[in-house]
Order: sequence, then C-alpha cells, then structure tokens
Amino acid sequence: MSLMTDPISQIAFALALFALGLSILKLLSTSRLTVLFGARWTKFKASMKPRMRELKFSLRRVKDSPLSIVGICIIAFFVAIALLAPVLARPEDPDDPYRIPRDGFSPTPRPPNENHRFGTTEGQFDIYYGVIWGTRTAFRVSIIVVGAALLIGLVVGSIAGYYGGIVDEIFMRITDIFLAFPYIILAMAFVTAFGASLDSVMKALIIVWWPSYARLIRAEVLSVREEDYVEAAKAVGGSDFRVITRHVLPNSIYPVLVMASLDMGAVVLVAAAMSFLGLGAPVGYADWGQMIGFSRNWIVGPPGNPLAYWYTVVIPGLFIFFFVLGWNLLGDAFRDILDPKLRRR
Amino acid sequence: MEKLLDVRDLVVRFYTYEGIVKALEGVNLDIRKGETLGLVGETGCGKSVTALSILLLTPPPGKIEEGKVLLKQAKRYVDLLRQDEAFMRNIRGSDISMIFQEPSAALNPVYTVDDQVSEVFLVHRREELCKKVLEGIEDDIRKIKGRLSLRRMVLKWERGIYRRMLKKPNSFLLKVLQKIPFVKRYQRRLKGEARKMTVQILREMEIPNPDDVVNRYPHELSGGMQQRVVIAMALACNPRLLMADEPTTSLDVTTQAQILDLIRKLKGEFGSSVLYITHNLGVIAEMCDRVGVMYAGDVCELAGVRELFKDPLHPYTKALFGAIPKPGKKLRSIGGTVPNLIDPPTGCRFHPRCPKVMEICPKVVPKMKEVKKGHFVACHLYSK
Amino acid sequence: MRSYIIRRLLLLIPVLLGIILLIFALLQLFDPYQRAALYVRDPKQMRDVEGIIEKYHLNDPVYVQFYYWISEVLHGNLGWSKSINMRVSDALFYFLPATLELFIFAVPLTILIGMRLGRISAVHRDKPVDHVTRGLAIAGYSLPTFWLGLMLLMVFYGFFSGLFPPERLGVAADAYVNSAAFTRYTRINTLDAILNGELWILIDALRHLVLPVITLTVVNIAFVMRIMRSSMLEALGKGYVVTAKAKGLDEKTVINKHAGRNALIPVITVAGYLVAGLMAGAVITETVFNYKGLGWWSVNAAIQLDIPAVLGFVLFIGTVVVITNLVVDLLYAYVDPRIRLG
Repeated sequence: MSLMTDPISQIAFALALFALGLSILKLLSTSRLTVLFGARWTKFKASMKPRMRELKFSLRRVKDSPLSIVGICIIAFFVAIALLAPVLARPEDPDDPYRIPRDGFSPTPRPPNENHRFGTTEGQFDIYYGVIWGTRTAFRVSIIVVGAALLIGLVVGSIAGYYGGIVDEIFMRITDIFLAFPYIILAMAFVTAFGASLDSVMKALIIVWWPSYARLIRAEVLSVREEDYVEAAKAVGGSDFRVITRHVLPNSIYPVLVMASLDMGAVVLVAAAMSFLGLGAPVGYADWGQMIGFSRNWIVGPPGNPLAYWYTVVIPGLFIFFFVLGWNLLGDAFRDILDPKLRRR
Repeated sequence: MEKLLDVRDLVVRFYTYEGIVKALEGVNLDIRKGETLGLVGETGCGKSVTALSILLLTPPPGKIEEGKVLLKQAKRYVDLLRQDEAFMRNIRGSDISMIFQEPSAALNPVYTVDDQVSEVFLVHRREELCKKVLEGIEDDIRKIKGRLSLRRMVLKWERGIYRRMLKKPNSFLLKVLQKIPFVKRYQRRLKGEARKMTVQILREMEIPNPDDVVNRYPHELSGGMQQRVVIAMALACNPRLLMADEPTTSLDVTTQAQILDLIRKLKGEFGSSVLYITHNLGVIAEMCDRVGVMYAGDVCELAGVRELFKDPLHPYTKALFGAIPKPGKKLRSIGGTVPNLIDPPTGCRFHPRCPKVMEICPKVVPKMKEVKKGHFVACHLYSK
Repeated sequence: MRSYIIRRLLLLIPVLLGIILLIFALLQLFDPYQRAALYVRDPKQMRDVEGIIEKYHLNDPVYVQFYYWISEVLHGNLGWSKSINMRVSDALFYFLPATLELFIFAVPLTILIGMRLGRISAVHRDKPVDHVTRGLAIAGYSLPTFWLGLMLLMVFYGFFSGLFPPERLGVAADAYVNSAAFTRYTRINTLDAILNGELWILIDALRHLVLPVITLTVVNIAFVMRIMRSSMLEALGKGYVVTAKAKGLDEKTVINKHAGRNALIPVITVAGYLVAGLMAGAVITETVFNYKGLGWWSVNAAIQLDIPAVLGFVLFIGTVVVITNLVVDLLYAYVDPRIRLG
C-alpha cells in the first residue's frame, strides 16, 4: 500500500506506529522476560486476571451500548473499503493511484450510469473512484495527524506534568497560546505559509493539534503523580522514566483514547474543509473534501430540475459524514465505558 | 407504648451490571412513639438503605420488592410502600425527616441558608404562611389614609392573590403569575414570613446570630454549623420521626458531642421519635432507648440498650462488643470478611464467620424470636 | 473575588504576548517580499518593495524586525489586504458587523437548544429519549459544516426556488440599504432595518440569515448538549438532591431548581469554547453562502496568498477568544458563590 510521497510524513508515520506499538507492549507486559510456560505462566495469568476481567467488563458494556456497535461496524466498513481500494477501483496509473481518472474534459457533471457508478463531477472525474480512494486518503490523514499529535503531546505533557515547576509553566503557556485559536483558522495560516497541498495541511494540523493532547496528558499525570502507588514505585527505587511509563502513563491513557477516537473524525472534517476551500488536496486528487469543492458550482441545476446534480454533493458528503460519525460514536462510547465514575451502576 | 412505625419483611434488591445485590432480605423493626431506636452495623450492612426505603427514596438501581412499612396516621396504619408520590411528598420533610452524614454535601452550594430552610416551610406550611401574610396585608391596608392611593390598590391585589393561594393552592393562574418577572414580587411577603420562621428555628438549633447566618452560603459555615442547619431543615415542621444517618461521623469529637446534646434536647422539646443509624457503639449507649443490630441486610438482634450491653445474645453482637478497643486488652477482630451480597451465604448470613455455627445454620434462615422480654434475636442457638 | 479578578486580568498579558509572538513566528515563515505587504498603508507604497524591506529592516535579525513590526501593529497598521483592496484594519471593521449578525442569532439558539436537550437527556438517562437525543446530537456534530450548508442551499434555495437565498441581502434590498434613504447605524442589517423602520429589509435580511444560522447551530449544538448532560448528571448525583427529595420537594423543583443551577456552572465555562467553535464554523459557512463577513474575507485572502489579511485575521481571532475566555471566567466567578465570596 503506497502511503505517502513526502519523506517527513513517512518518518512521522513510522514514529507514530513505533510509539504505538511500544506503548501497547508496555501496557500488556507484566514481566520483563518473555514468558513461556510453567510457574511463570501461571503467575502471568494470575496477574493478568484483573486486567482480563476489566477487559471483559468493558467488552460487555460495549455490547450493551447499541451506538458503539454501530460505530464499530461503520469503521470496519471503511477499513474494508480502504484495504480493498485497488480491487474495488483499479487505478489507471499504479504509481499514482490517487489521481482520479477523467473521462473527457466537459465541465458539466453526468449522473450515475453504467460506466461511472456514481456519476462524474465537474471535469468528468469519476466519483466512484474518488470516494473509494478518498477513504484511503482519509485514513492516512487522520492516522498521521492524530498519531503524531498524540506522540508529541504525550512527550511534552508527561514531562511537564511529572517534573512540574518552571518546565511545566513554560510548556503550559505555549499550549495556552495555541489553544487560543480554533484549529482551522490557525491551520489556514500555516497552510498559506507552506503552500497549498495535502502534506501542508497535515503538517499544519499536527502543529495545531498537539497542544490539546499535551494538556490532557499533563492533567492526568498531575492527578496520578500524587497517588500512593507512584510514591511506592519511587520508594522502591524506580527511575523516572520507568515510573512514568509503567505507572503514570497506563493509568492516564483512558481519556487520551477517548480523545484520539474523536479526533480521528475531527481531523478528517478539518482536512476536508481545507481541501474544499482550495487549500488542501490539488484538483483531481482522490479526497472527499476536494470532490465536494467541485460541486460548488452545481448546487442548483437547470430550472425545472434543480436537484439535477445532487450526486456531486451528496455522495462524497455521505462518505465524510459516516466516517466521522463512526469515530464519534466510538469515541463517545469509549468515554462512557471507560469513565470510572460512570462505570459501576 | 404504641408503635409509630412498623417495618415488616422489607426486601430491597439492586439490579446492577454485576448481578442482583440482595441488600435487604426481610428486615423487621419497629419504632415506638417518643423513643430513640439505634440501628448499628458495619458499613454496607443495609442501614442507610433501610432508612431511605422507608421514605421510598431507594436510590436506583434499587427496587423495593416486598414488605410493608406501616405508619400510624390518626387511628389507622398506612402502608407507605403502597402510597403514591404525592402522598409521600407530604410525608417527607414534615412527618418523617432524614438527615445525612455529610452536611456539606447535603446543602446546595449555590443557595443561601434562608433559601434552603425556608423551602421546607414554603412546601409544608403554606397555609399558615398565607394566613400570616394576609394578616400583615390587612394591617398595611388599615394604615393607609387616602382612598384612591395606588398603594392601596396594589395591596388589595396582593390580598386577592393570597386569598386565592389559600383556597386553591394549585391554581393555574398562580403558576403563570409566578413566572412573570415583575409581577412575581408578590411572593416576597410569603418568603418574608418563611424567613421569620427560619430564623426562629435556627435560634432553637443554638446557632448564634441567626439573622446573619440566614444570608450566608453553606461553604461559609463550619461543619458543625452546617449540620445544625441540616437538622433545622429536618425539624422545621415538627416531624414525628427523625431518621439520622450517621450525622456526626464526619465531625470532630467536640462538635459531635454538641450535636448529640442538641438532638437529645430537641427530642425532648419536640417529642419526636428518632431512628439513629451509626456504627459507633458509644453513641448508641448515649443516645438510644432501644437498639437494632444489622448484619448483611438482616436485623439479627433487637433489644433495649441496657439489656443489649449487659447481655448480648447473638454471636455477631457479642463479637462486635468484643471488638471494641480497650487499653490493655487484646484487640479481637471478627474473622472473615463482609459477605458479597450478590451471592450471599445461604441460610443465616453470618454462619461462615460464626464461632457457634451449627448444622442447621446454612440451611434455614433464622427468624426473630422474643427470647427474653423485649429482647429479640434471630439465631438458631435460641430457637428451641 | 477581587484577587481572582486581578489574577485573571494579569494572566491576560502573557497570553496576549504569546499570541503576538506566535503571529510573529508565523510571519517569519514568509520571505521578505511577501512580508513587505504588512507594513504599507496603501497600495502605491508597494511599488517600492525594496524600500520597504530597507525601512523596516526585514532582512535583519529577528529581534530587530520584531521591534519594527510591533510598533506598526500598535499604531494600528496591520498592512494592506490586496484581495479586497483595503487596509487590513479597515477590513476588520468593515466585515465585523456581518459576522456579528450571524453570532447574534446563532449563539443564543445553540445555547438554549443545547441546554434543553442536555437537561432532557440527563433526566431520562439511558431511556430511549436519551439515546435518540444523543444520537441526533452526534449526527449533527459529524456533519461537515460545508456539506450541510451546500445541502441546505440545494434544497431551500434550489428546490424551493429561492426561499432562503445565499449572501446577505437580495439585489433590491442591497441597493436600498446602500442608498441615501437608509441610515446605516450599525451595519448589522436586521438591527438597522428595525431602527429605520423598514420591515421588508428586515424580512429580507432574515431570509438570508436562516440557512447560515441553522448550519452553524446544528454543528455546535452537540457540544453544548454534551456538557450540559454530564454536568446535570453530576449534579443529580450529589447529596443535596437526595436531601431536597427528603424535604418533600417535587421532582421538577429538584431537577430545575437544585440540580439545574449547579449544572449551569460548567456550561458557562464552555461558552468560551463555543465562541471559538462558532468562529471556525463561520469561516466555512460564510464561504459556502458567499456571506461577506470576516470568515469569507479570510478564506478569500488565504487562497490569494494575501498574507497581511490572513495574519490580521488570526491576530483578531486570537484576541477575541482570549477576551471571551476572560469574560467567561469572570461570569463564572460571579455565578458560583463559592468563588464570589472566597
């Protein structure tokens, strides 16, 4: 799956994946040595039991909440589309699959027909191809932005929260400044500086998005820092890094998970808006927002059939809507499930 | 002495994600007129649930499944569990009141003391207040000289409103008028009268400077003062029964003593019965006439306070007394842990921890029996 | 309370400073020729770009530039906006009333409806009403603003032939409003129409406002609703609610009087974020509806690489949000007696 062209984005993505993998490993591991069998295995199982029970409890709550099931299904659907994109919509040029094939140059969109399942938009770009590969674009953008913002925020926030003092003050003033601006407005400014492209949008969004994670992590770290078990870990002689990663972070992770799932949708909304406005993906690129941008001139059809070009607006929009809806439902469900206060009824 | 309140076979269950918590399985107790009944037991044994259920305020996901709660009204006994909300609202706060453990949590931080205590009067003593207001209005009308003065017209209008309030308290017109910003000033008189009564009751609670305190917000008062305000709210309408759920546990020892003294005094003055819930045996000894001992949702022993201290019969009660720390004596705790109420022990719920357990104990639930005069125990040791 | 106010006001200074620094940092991302446009007062000066670079030391180290730039800003000179041929400072005042008009309608609607829904949702927790309300709110939140705007236009302007049109005013109304017969008091069309006593202008303006306001509101309602719901749930779980019930108060009074007042407090703090969210929404909405307000101007400028305009807009927004948060904090201190009386 060819992901991105810009080396910076590639590095960011790789880092995000690496960090994610590391944290998952840390969360699950209870002993440093790989456990194979014997007494060690039973001890491992015993120590995992409370975690497994919590997990089972969480899963049951997921089952009980119909909205979260819907969310998971929607996202699974999109994942399937993204993975099967080359099969569902064969690219004309295997080296540049994100270029939507054009069937002529006529500006008038044409309704769904046998050649073009969802019709064509202005300039005869195939809508079906666009929305299929647009799914990949959406995942790409959201994973990179959320992953990188999460990483940066994690590092900054945990350092600020854990060490406190002047380090904390400085970092927090910086985040205050960033958080004074609505995301899209600040991102617009950065994109103007970087030049309009999807990569600029991603970079701009990462810059704009990390402070909220830093804030969140810091708040969690602050509350966890005072807990007795952290004192205990330090008293036993744990190094700072060890204390942070093994004790402080795992307990702070829940709100971050909630925020990350919600942001997966939010990022796509902002990125689509930027592309719509003309500041993001270039013309003819498989991006949902960009495709809706095409339809601006065709909202009102000829008199007598004003809804003639509905498919140029409705179809890509539905894809965005359901993608974001899925993540919002999931994030909301996470919030209800993982909130310790609301858990036990 | 006749019974004021009789709780029979009260069964309450909580429907939670993890299973059905069988909180109360057939609780039996009775409170007589003018007496203080203590209810003692470990945390989680169901004392608070019992009290809340009497007022039908069982917190969700709890449900009252079976039982009767008989309250004496005029010459008959009324089963509270079968009554509707309107009836219960009449009872709550004026016939039966309840005070809770944390006074700072019980008081609403965004309203003044006046607001909160007057509320009780405004709900339950409306008629009385209206009559007082009408007297005041008549007085004011008489004082006015001119015949056509505006003030006279306003007063006559107010008089009309209050007369209507007296006759038809739920009138639709009044409800509408209440909402209109400028018009609703007529309520000031009513609130003024309620305020006077509030100051009066605060004074009886031995709160210094009640005129000043009424204007304060809860967070401006100390813990002891807050609890006095809470007690004032509860006793405002002279209830026949006051239920106190560990009212002094969160206060320091000196304040605790003051509040206990206050409750004792007020009981004498007002003549109400008190259901005193606590886990502190010392307080029981000081305050109560009779005591009920609860364990895991069951009342296992019920007796007069002297009798209980002198001759505890149930093994749990004996163990409780044994566990009181005394200097020089070895601290004996009760072995085992409080049972899980989702899957409670069969038969007598205490049997896994009981030093005198017999074969029959896990099989049959023991019933309360009068073993000595006025001394009830639910234990197979005494059922011969 | 006084110390709280003073502390909050003092906190304002470093944040404003920080915002200025951020804008300046943004500025440095552009090369000197692009930056030159920020220092001019009229387009004729742009002919001599080299001279401007010289005068304001645009090639010198950062701190020197900062000095020159900040002195211009403090004199009210934010540069020249080439996309609309106006000074940036003038443009801000020119486009503000339009955006303000949107806010006047959108803010109360969002807050009132959001609060109502949140309260209903909390009181009937986990019942069908709750699920439906939350579902609808999440759906509204998942809608791309621009898509909703376009769809609404498609239906209500296209299909219902011009019922709710885009832009601010119809052609006739626009001509009238700019003529001598009409006095522009505030440049907020609805207000001016009332003040001038011209009913048809008022109706025309309102017709043009319906769709943008709906678009803005729908997307932001979920935000308010969610906060109201959770703060209401928290209030309902508090001790004073049980006490109120034990006093014999009826359900409605307990919910509205006791829990409601306490639940409002977190909602106030959220109001600040709402303004920011509405601002972001306005940028997109104004563009979709060709509604010539601040948002429209900023997007237009971004596409045309009109840097002074973009940066001026960002500076303006940052200041507005910071001041809004300050107002909200002060309001919050006033409403909560625990803070008001120390």
